[in-house]
Amino acid sequence: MKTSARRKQVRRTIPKLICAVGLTALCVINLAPILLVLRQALSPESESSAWPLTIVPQHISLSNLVSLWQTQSLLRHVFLSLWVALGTTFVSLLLGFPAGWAAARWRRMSSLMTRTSLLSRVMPPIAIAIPLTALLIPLRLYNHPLGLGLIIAHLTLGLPFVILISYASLVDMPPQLEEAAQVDGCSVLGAFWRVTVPAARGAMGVAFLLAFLLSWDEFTYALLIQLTHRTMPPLIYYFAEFGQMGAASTLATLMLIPAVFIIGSLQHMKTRSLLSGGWKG
Amino acid sequence: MTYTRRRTWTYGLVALPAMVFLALQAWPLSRAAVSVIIGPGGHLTLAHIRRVFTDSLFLRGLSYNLFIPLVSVALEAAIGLAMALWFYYLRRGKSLWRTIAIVPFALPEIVYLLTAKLIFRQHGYLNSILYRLGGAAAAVGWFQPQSILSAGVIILVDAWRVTPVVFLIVLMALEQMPDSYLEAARVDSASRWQIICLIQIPLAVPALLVALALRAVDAFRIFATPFVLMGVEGMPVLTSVAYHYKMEANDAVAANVAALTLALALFAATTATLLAAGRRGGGR
Repeated sequence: MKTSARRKQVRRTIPKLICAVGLTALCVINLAPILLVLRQALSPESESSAWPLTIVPQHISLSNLVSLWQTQSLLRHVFLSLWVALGTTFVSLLLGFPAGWAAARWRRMSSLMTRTSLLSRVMPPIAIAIPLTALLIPLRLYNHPLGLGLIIAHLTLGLPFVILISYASLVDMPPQLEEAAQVDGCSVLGAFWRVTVPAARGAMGVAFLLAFLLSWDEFTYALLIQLTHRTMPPLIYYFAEFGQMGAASTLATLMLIPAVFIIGSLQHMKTRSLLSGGWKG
Repeated sequence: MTYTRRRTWTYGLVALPAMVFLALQAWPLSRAAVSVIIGPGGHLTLAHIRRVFTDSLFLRGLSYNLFIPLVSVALEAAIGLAMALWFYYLRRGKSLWRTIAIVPFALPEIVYLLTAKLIFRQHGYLNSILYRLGGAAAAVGWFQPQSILSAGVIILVDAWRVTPVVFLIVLMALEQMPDSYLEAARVDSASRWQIICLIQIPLAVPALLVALALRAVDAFRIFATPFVLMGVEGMPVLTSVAYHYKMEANDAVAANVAALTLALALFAATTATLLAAGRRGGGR
């Protein structure tokens, strides 16, 4: 009797043990790489070419940040990345949100619009980027110091994304809300501006944050279109390619800041209820 | 103008700029297509296509571009499903663990790849640990060009980053399943494994298929992972071969051939899927 009771207890603890081991492994695999980037960023460049590498840094210093600041004019790259991401996001919302609304309200347009958006999200960026550079050169937008060509390229990602999000969130909104405003004397556009836009502020906020990240993280277009005025992702690639892991990690740490902030705030807000606005309990 | 007509006009006008921009994407694509089939004398020619399709770099890229995505998506399906089932039965701290599980996908791609490079490169962290444990002979060439091992590492790195997408979609499907299904099975004294294998997995298949369809598109357009970790020569795929033709060999036409091969294949596959889904949805 005693042994069977003990066996039962063992049978109960083994799954718990496996579960604990699994969760620990998950934490190590997913979080340790970020710590490695931080570790590399905060120790001198000489430590990234030492052999064998030490997991714990020997010296803590900001020398990577300082040398990036002095030799690479760090701020220019950071501001270019920010500017391109903000520009892409604003234009995507400005054009994409009304388009998503029209698709949600007008049946005949919805399938055309969602399918075009889906198809253009399927295109490999490189297939568009290569002929696009040939088009941008005569327009003087290739390698533009303000990244205008890159903003155009990023719109091919941001716009379909915003259209699909706005369509998905507005299609569930009862049209009676707008119709009521129209009965009270609003034009169709007036109802959109006074009723739909305020009611869908949450969805627009989510679309804004995600579209920002889409451009902030983008690598392929940036690599092909900005040859010398680089945004941060291709710059990280070049530093890593030339073995300057400290500089690459420092830039990566800077890139993480808005990403962590945005993901954190999206987790905090209840995304689902934001997307459906105030019209669903 | 009647009310309905005015409304239709408004919708059309409001959507016009976005539609024009989306349509404009066809412009660079069609220019690329024209450059591919027109020879120097202005005649139609297959010479460009023939030239690229006999290039050994392109052919290697083509085979990797089939092999890597297929294995990667299969791996994502297996790990994603297993993790979703595991998390479904987690009791405590579910939301915290879920947040940790989706970290790789939430990171910017280039940051994630930098971490992979820090770990797997010749003088990286993994080899440092192996060196300390077993001496110089224990270090492994993870990114040795043309090796099965390096293909395995690339697939693992690629799959691990996007598995959270599959995991989240399947987990959501599992959580939305009515409890009554599971209770009915329990009443009939089904074991937990029977419930998982006979009820939960079959009912999660539609969600899994949707997730895999989404993932397959991205998997076939794979670019940054092999490009950043191993370079064009080390592990060519169609996109990085196109990059090489354009930026390093300065041959835009060859680059267009390589990129359009991939674009056409994806376009055809997506259109077929949309049509099939439309037909099954009763022409909605």
